[in-house]
Amino acid sequence: MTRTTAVLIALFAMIAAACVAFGAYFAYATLLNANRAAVEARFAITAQRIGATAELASGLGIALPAQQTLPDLLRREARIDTAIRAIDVADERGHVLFSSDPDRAGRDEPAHPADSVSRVMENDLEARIGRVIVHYDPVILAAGAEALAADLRFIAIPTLAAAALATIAVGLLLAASLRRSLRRAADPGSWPEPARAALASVDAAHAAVLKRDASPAGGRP
Amino acid sequence: MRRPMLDRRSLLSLGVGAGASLALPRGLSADTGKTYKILMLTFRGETDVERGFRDLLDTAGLKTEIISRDARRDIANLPSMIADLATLKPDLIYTWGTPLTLGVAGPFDSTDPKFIRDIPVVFALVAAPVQARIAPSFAAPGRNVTGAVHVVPTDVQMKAMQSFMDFSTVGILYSTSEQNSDVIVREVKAFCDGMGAKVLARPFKNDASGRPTAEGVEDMVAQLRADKADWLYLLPDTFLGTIYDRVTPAALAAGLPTFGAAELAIREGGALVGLVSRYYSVGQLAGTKAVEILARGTPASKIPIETLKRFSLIINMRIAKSLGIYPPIAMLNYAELVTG
Amino acid sequence: MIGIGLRGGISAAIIVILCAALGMIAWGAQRAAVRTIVPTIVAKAESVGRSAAALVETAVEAGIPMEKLAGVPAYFEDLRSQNSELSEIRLTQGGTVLFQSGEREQPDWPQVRVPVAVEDGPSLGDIVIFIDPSIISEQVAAVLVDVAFIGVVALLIALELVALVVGARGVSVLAGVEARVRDLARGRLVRHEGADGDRLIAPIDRQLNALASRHAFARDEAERRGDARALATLDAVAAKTGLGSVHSVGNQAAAVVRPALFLFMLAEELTRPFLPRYVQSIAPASLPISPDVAISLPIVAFMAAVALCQLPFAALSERIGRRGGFMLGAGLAACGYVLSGLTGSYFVFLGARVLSAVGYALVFVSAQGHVVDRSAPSERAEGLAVFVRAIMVAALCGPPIGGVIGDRLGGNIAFLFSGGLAALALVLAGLSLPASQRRGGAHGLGLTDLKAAIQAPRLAALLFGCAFPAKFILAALCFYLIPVELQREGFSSAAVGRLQMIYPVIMVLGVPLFAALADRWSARAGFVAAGGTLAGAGALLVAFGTSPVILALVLALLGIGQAMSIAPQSALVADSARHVPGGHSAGVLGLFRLVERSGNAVGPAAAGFLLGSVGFVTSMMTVGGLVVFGAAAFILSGRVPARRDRGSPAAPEEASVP
Repeated sequence: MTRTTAVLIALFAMIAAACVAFGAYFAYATLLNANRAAVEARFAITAQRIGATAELASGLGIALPAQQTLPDLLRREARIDTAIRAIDVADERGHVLFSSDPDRAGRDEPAHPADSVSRVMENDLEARIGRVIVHYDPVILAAGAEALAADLRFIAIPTLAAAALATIAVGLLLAASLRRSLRRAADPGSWPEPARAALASVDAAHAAVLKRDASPAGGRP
Repeated sequence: MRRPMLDRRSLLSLGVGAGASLALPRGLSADTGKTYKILMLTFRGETDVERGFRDLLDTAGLKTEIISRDARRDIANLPSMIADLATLKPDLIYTWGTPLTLGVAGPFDSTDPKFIRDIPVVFALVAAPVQARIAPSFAAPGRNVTGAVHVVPTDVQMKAMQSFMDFSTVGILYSTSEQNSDVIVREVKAFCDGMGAKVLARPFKNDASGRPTAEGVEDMVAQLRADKADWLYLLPDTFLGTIYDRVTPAALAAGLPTFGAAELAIREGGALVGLVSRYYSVGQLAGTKAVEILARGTPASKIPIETLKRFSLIINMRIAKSLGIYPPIAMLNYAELVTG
Repeated sequence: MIGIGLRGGISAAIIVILCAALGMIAWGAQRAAVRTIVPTIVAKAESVGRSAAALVETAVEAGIPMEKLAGVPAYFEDLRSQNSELSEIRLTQGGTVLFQSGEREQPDWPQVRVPVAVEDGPSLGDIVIFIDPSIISEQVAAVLVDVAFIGVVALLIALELVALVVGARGVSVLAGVEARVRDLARGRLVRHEGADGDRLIAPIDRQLNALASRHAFARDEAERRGDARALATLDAVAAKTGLGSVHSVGNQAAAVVRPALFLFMLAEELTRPFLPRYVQSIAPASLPISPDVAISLPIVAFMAAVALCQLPFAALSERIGRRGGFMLGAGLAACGYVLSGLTGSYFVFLGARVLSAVGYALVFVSAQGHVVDRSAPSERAEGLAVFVRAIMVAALCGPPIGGVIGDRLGGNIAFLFSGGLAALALVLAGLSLPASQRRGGAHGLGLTDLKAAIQAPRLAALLFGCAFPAKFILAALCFYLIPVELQREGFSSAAVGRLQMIYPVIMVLGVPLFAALADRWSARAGFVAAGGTLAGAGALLVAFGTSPVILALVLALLGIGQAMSIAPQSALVADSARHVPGGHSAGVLGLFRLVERSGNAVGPAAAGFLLGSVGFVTSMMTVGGLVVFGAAAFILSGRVPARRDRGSPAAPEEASVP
């Protein structure tokens, strides 16, 4: 039983620790998402501004590839915010038509490039004509992630240890109490009150039957 | 009261009937190898409409041979333009405007054999195809004709006007002889009733032969202003279109802002602001109909007639400055500013 | 302390400890959010300021004098309504404020200043924005609600693990020890089996065994003498103290299967939040079906396969044994998940999902069969309640975890994760479930069974008016329409997962409550009808908008409606079953399952079709309307009032699993 108890307490301590670790990690993931959303909201405003301009021009009959004023606009917008790496305008197939970074023009962008915010542009027929993609510097996300991780680690590791230790402590206390009760249970004289009462009633009943018979058998085992 | 703030998207999609998605169907851009012959009939030479039409066919990857013929602003030229149909054998006929469309396809309930019923016709720039009896309804033309309508629904125009500057009275000048104007006046009244505004609709004077004349329009405009009109709405009235040069200067002199229903009213006619369908986009919309007929084989009778989903706001800054009435700043996000 | 025992005590302690620990984590999360996310929100205000400045510049370039700008306060107000943390925006020129919207309450609130200047020209003025720190705190608090949700999930999982450990065979010695101590503390002198020879237990067992033999001897004596009074006294004392009897271990069938079932269900639930987006990413553009149908097809195929396998697998799992059935099913499903995660082909993915579905159906049928086989009728409801609980907790924990895994590591990794969980469930089932007993005589349902079943009183109305629509709306809304719509609105998988949790939370809380009420008031039919109406009417709420709050309300009403109807529904079916002549009651239950699960399968298909053709709001209204209509049909069919007999309690027997 001692071994079983030890294993049990260890398992429970592990569950407590794992559960705290799980909670901390998922809290981290949640905060990370919130941080990303807040960061991206900022770049979405830029994407919106550029997209509206390009849609206006396309309504005037200037097809997206022919909007030669866009590169200037993209460069200007990209310069304003140092966290922006590049702003692309891609056609509906993801082919980059213009970019604040001249090297990027002519590339093909995936549907959901990492570390970017997109806004779809439509023409007056509400058909997609392309996307504005604001690529931001992942460093600002990474810096946020690092700060969040550090802050959470600072709390989580001591908490995790404390939870495990507290579980072990409670387990040991309970085990000691169980052991004590067991030891007492070995001797009917130290049984808990209800058990002693039951035993007394049984003894009385047995005594009544066996005494009448005056048989030598019986008595207390 | 806070003026309703509308962004371009919500403003421009108000009141527009829901139609089938206009995005190019997937797989359409595949090269089918066939070259389609399109007879393009224009009324006053090729415009932005035709540019949009051609661009869309190109984008869709359709190989086309377009034979362009122009009526040189005279409908009497039409018979000669389609005299050789039997030998030309076009896959599709494109028509510009109501007279050409009606001349080619005729009213839907006519049995006159001179009208073409076996070649699909796609029109652009027809203002009221149902009233003109080109088709019995927008949703289901039920015959070999479909196309793109360029007028902006009246209530959408009224909302744009309201967004620019709220009003309690709107003035209108119209010709009693034009059935279309009559309908629009009623639509304006219905909208204004809904928002508790007043409509001052004044007909032009008619001459002896019953035709409208420009006589005394300056006084009429001044009187509208005296009667506390906040806006003068320049509806798409054919006669009104010919006398912008007399109406808008009078409005400017009276300090009355003008809202034009036709693009020309703002660009050249001296109106302050207007909500219009871009000709290029109307051409594109007609183009999608042509693609659907040619590449997908959908009969024209089953393709709904549509208006655009979004319209364009044009503001004449020269007029704005003269009037001292400037657009709300948010409108600058989506308006085109002209200085004509 | 003794009363609870070591296992119970430590279980209770771990809850308290974890609540405190998770509270600490939440506090840490709050601190971290304030330090990192708050500056990010402030940076956004700068971006808004630049946007406003750019617009003013456009106006000035168009020739509008700064002081004559129109609609500036309205524009600022609009910006403020879109970014609630902005308390005041003003346009200043020199020292004067030209236009202003809102008013800050404290002069020292953080501010952002962006200059307005036409290109290469002098500064014309400034856009000044003041930020309300209390709103930022609110935004941080919203994030912390998410963190708290995660805490609840962590706690639930810990409880499942605790249950796993406590139920494990390895700690049965401890269970014996605790049982002995507990019995003594209650004054029960019963004998216990097992744990022979343990050093600590042996003395107790010796005492009790000796007492028992002495009792037997005394009884023999009394009997020999024919002393009826003494016999009666002895028996009375024995009955009071439990002397002579052997401690019986309660029914463990459900407890034994629970951990493995939980892990297995968790595997499937993980996939919910990211599945639509994942399918979208692998669906090729050249499919001859609309993108919406392409997304819903794997979900439909899964549901359909589960539905179709219900009847045949009932017999199959009996033939190969419950343990074997569970393990085979878990293995198949694991293969399906792994294949789903590895393949890039849409059609292979579709096949993999069907494979997982077949495994899922087999596991479900086997686990349920195990509980039913190994419990007496009186214990069955309770056993099935444990079974339902495992599934519901999985439904609760799976989506948020799956959402985070999907967001952080990608859908394919999340599928591999599911595969791992299913494999773990397989191992656990192999270790914990008792060896299979094969049965020869098992046979599937015949057509006659079904024919008899459909003629049972009022059953058709119940099946097609309530059972089918209930699963139909659940699958259509909760698993398809709402996740797809939320993703379209730009919410992350994790956020979608948390919203999807609303339904199982309400179910876990509501099912026992409504089951008890329906029984007490003898109003099962009423609860079924009211539940259906409520669930359907909830979907109509989208007429007022599609904000996450309204969608959450839709899910909440769906949960309440389903919680009201699900248990009374199965009780009514059981009632009907008893009225079927010729012992075809199995047919009724089988038919119920089949119809119910067809609803699961048809739901997403119909939803996908509707979404593609009429849009989100109309789809929701249509589905909701159909369900209300079904409930109405059921009410109208009830000219015969609901039976007042209480033959089968409305216990949550019918697991609400897709």
